[in-house]
Amino acid sequence: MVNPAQEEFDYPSLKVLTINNHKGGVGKTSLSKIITEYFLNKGKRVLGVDIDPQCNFSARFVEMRDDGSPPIHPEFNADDPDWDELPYPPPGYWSISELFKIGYVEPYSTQYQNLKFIPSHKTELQEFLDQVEKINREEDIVNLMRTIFLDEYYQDEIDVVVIDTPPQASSLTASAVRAATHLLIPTEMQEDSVSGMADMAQLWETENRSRIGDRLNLVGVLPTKYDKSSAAQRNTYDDLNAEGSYFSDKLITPPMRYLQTYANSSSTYANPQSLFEMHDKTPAKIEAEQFCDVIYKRVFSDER
Amino acid sequence: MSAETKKPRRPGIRRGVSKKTIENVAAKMEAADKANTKDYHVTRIPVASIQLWDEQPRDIYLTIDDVIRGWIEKDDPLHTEKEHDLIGIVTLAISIKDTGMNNPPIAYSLPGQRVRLIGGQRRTMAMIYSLFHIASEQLEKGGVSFDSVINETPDLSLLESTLIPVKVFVRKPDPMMIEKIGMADNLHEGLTLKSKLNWALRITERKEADDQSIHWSELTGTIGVNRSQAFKWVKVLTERSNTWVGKAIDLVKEDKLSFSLLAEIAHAEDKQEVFERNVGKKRPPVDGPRKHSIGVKTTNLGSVKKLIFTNLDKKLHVEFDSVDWSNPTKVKKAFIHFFDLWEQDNG
Repeated sequence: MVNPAQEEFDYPSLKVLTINNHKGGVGKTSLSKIITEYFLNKGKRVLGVDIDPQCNFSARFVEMRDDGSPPIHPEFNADDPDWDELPYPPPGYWSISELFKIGYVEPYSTQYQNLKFIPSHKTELQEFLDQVEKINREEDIVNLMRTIFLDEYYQDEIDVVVIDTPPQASSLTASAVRAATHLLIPTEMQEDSVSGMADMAQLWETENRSRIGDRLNLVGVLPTKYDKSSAAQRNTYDDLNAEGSYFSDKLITPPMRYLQTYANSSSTYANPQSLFEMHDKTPAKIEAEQFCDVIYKRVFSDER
Repeated sequence: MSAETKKPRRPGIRRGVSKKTIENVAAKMEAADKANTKDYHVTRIPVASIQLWDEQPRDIYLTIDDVIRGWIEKDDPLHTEKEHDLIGIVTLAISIKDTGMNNPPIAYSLPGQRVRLIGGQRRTMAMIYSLFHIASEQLEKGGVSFDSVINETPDLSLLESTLIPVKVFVRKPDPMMIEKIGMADNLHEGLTLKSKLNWALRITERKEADDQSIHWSELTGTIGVNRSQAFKWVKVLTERSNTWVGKAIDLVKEDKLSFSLLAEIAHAEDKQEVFERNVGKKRPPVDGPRKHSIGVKTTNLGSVKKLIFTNLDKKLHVEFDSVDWSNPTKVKKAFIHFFDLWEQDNG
């Protein structure tokens, strides 16, 4: 017999793409930015969510303050009677730490009409993690983001959520995985990064074993910082892609080679701000359009 | 270039990630891809038929009797630890009452239509607590509020008549698989260093009893450490019978030594010297906020104070004016009092 509560835990149509690898520096944030822009170009209504205290994904779309906190929300009204229901008056800005602390957050509008964003907070997120450990609330936290996304607002106003995660296992990362419908793993073609995927496999297996409704789908593994001139990287790529290998249909091609270009194109003062506004013959743009298209098709493959 | 000046040939850099690593990772990814709840029966089982798992990775001091009673007896020798556990259970019980049990506990079958838990011990305790001690109230403005109200005469027949969803293994898994699933399920919910260490020691002993040794990949896949950290863990585990490593392990379990120092001792040639240098001598006081142990976890007392004052209505601040914020016991009591007040206000 299936637990009815679990079935109600599935989203009717919302897609949630969590980009995760426990190893740092593999290009998670750059990939999050590019995918977000690509989904927007495809006409999707996107919600960006940053749970990495480094706030780099946030800084691309929200004008963060020098102390790593988001700006005061333009529609914030300190006298709103709704705040009486919250455990404490909200600070005026909304970050992902408010979502975890009080179960409520208002996404920011951005320069893109179809993009809403829930930014991170440099200091509060880490402090919150420490508090979570103290008062044994981890189990609530893991389910919280999915519960929030089940709200009508997200179901009606958003087509796809893109979540950038920090490079370590915590209840926040577990929450992003629990919230996800799709998982995307960027990895470098070197020993530590590849063996690091075993951690992700464990998390993914646990998640699939615990889900009675919709499963967590692997969009694929995207090789990043790929250097064709390196024999070691080429050999690794070929071994992963070998016929009969589990990875052969999971590897996303082409691999990401121009990470530096992506990082530069999405920095706060870059001009043009989006990689996709660059000249059509820019190699990085051509490459990004190709692997983003693969990701896009896999995420929306079951679209009715 | 002449033969005389030609540089001697050097060994080549290994060409890429080893095939063995790729095969191992691929096997794990494939297992994850294929994993589903069909390995389990998801079935509803009377609460009374569920046995707790004595050796579970998370340290829980509460017993079922405590949960059914709803409060901790004053003369209980583990009063502080159990109070700490109970706060978490009450919060979870309210959540379960409000939204249901979204992630059923995992168990395997025992003879006589009973099951033993592998994961979800706290969820099960919270479910039991919610049966007896969580009251709901319809609010005038709509919605329902939940509150913890101790029922002095709990109706124990509810344990027989109440069914909860449990994922029960179709086939009885091998002991190592039970350990791994239990650990992974608990890791999702956060674990103390002591819990991880106890679990790793137990797994190591089991493997050695089967003439096997612990491998780093078994740690990365279960206790959530990366590969380089796992190597340190393996060193600690294999050196655990050394007197000084054993002493250091005990200190880590008591929150008196960090894991990095334990690893340093395990790796050292002269373990006694490193142990005494780090533990034997009194170290100078550290500037800035001091950390103390409350119960089983290391806690920054200043941040607890901040947590309390941030989350509490200003008119209630007076109740905490006399608290000695440098005394862990007083802070612990203040936190429990804060939690009561917070619950009264917020349900």
